Amino acid sequence: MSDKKDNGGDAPDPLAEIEERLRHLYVAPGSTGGIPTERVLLNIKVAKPQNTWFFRTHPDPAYQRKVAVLGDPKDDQLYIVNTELVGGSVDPSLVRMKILRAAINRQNVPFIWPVPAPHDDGTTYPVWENLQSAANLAEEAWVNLSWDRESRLHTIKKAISEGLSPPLWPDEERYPFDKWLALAFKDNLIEAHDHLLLRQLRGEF
Amino acid sequence: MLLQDYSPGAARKLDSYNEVWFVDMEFHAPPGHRPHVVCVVAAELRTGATFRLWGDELKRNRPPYSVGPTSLFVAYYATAELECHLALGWPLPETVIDLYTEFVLQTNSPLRQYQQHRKALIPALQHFGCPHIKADLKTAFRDRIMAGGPWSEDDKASILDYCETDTIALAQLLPRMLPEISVPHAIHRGRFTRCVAQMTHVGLPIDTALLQSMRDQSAAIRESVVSEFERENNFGIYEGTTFKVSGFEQYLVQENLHLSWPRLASGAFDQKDQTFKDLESTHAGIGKLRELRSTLSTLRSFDLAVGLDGRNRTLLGQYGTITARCAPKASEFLFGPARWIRGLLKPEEGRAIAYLDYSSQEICIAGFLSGDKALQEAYATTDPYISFGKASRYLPDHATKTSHYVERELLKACLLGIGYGMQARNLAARIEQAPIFAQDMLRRHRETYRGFWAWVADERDRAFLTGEISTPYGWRMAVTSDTRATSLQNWPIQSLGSEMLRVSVEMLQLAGITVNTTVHDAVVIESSSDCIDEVTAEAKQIMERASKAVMGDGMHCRVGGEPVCWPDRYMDSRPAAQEMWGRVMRYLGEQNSDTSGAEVRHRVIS
Repeated sequence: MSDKKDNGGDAPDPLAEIEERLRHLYVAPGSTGGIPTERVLLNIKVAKPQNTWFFRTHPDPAYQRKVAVLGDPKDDQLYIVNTELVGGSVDPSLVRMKILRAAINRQNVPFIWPVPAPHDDGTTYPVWENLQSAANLAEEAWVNLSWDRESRLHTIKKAISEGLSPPLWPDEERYPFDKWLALAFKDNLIEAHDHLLLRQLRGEF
Repeated sequence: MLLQDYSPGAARKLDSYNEVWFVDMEFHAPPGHRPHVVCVVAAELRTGATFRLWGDELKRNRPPYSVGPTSLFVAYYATAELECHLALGWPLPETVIDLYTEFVLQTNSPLRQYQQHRKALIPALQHFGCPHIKADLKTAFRDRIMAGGPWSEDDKASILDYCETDTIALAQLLPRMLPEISVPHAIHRGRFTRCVAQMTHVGLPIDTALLQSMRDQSAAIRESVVSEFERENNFGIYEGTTFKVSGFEQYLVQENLHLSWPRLASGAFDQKDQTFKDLESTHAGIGKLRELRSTLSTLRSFDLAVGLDGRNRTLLGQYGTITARCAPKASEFLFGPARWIRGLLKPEEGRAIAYLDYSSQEICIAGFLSGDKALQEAYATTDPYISFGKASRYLPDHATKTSHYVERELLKACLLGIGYGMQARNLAARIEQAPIFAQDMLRRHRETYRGFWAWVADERDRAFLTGEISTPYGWRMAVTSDTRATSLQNWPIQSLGSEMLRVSVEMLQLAGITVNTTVHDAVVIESSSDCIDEVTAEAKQIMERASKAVMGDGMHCRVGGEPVCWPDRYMDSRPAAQEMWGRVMRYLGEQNSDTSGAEVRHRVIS
């Protein structure tokens, strides 16, 4: 085992080589590429964009639909309700109107974002308008949403780098919006008054 | 595979090297021992020249291949081959590419499936679609080699053939990995691999007589420390040496920790060591409990790996974490979770050691990376915690460490917790304050260090936009939708901290200072007692110089630590560790009066 060695007073400084090497090794972060993949969609999530996501919404009006919904998307329990049932089998106060928007995040994960829609009588709220604005902005730019406690509104950020790649939307022939809805909602469609959820809400069991 | 089989781009990356050697060695080494080399196979990329050496053929003062700066040494988990070099008395190769390190880097991600089995060659071969021998055949050969012989002539031939299959595998792996490898950075990483081999070769000096006493009586010590612990603290958690979940739940309720203590999906209280670690700095009882749990676990098998020369050696697990810090096998390493065990670190007669660590390294690096002048100034004051308190108007301008000791401890816990990305709820649990207080501290931090928070947001955005995060020196990690934003806050700081320590070790070794090991942001160095003060002072200067080199000339990270000379021993400064050491020594003293005197003499290093 060696102890401290005397390098001699006039010897060149051996540590300077390491310092010089470090100066040369500096690299700008985030410069590696990815591996191309072909996406097969078996599920599509229904969700509000997370505060860590940058996302885009599909600009084609065919990829959005105004629907009546019941339940909460946070626990995967959001149901599309046939509007003809509202007022009859379904208590109108439980139903909310949403515009389902096809969206995708920066990691190329497609999802359906239920954006609040104004009531039929035109009633709306600042926070709803705030979200609608974000959804519209995301048709053209990568957008990030985070909640601001002070203003009680979402802070909307837009990525302004020109080098960012555009969204890789799932192939439109294989995945028209009806297919998105089918993958996202599967059995969560209420089309008849004897649906289990409606019976539960009516207190039948 | 010859060079003409490489793609032009891959081949060009090797133009600077006259020779490229793929090297694999077989050896056997009981835990804690230096390796006994059985055979070496080395093959050169361009000429196809191959050396197969066995037994007496290894008794030479140099390897059969060139180790100069224009020869590239390629191996997988190269510390093993480099330790073999040192055991044989061969010089270390100057330029090393460790394909293990490069595999870790190319698959670096917080996802668990990428964290396991990377030290073995086969998973890397599978990942890159290379052919390989079956895993059970490899295990059978390894077992035969570890048995240590004697081997027949047929055995020798088949072991050499087996060794050569790994060399061929390296030759197949390199061209597949090269497109993603920046060779200068890989060689820079390989410099630390050389350092690790040298540290492992040296090992840590252990008080083997005391260790043997502990091993002989480990079962009785376990029972004794638990009963003494329960008698003194009355936690009601242990029955015998069994940890009772119901007792633990009652304890958390009694301490009013049951609402904030993390839970599993099942609703049960989380019992991971990290959970205890997060809370021990602000809750003395949790610190004691953690030390006891670690002690019982350590004493159960007592796997501390010590060689016949009385030195602790284990795989240091270089680049083993997502931030590239070392991840040694805890049960075999002196600096594992049970901190009192560190009292076994004792220099031999006439020798001395010093534990040197960077002071508040995370704060210094956060200031550097973010460019936040207020944070940089706080670090420059030597007491960043008091400085934060004053700057955020939590403390009056005249506050000092002495006048506001309690507040300083609170601010320290806050500053470190926030640095780790803690949000109000977890921070409140860490500092044992109401969530509204933690929210207020977070607000003060955000308002005081605006530049830091702007940098955090920028880094997070860049990571989620590009799908990766990286350091200025090329270490990187994949970022997915599942990556937690708070972990991205801490990753660049920890990763640059690990870079700083690696550069320190290389500089220290180059300056002729013996480095025994690294421990998170610290090193242990060794010299003879008569020059330890000078060596320690020089080592501190070198470590500060390394921090300057990594961060640029504008900033440097301070280094603390004092030497320990024989017959003193090292001792962890944390009260829970010292308390546990006292328990064990009392028990051994009762059993054997010889153990209670000079053997318990120690010097506490804070």
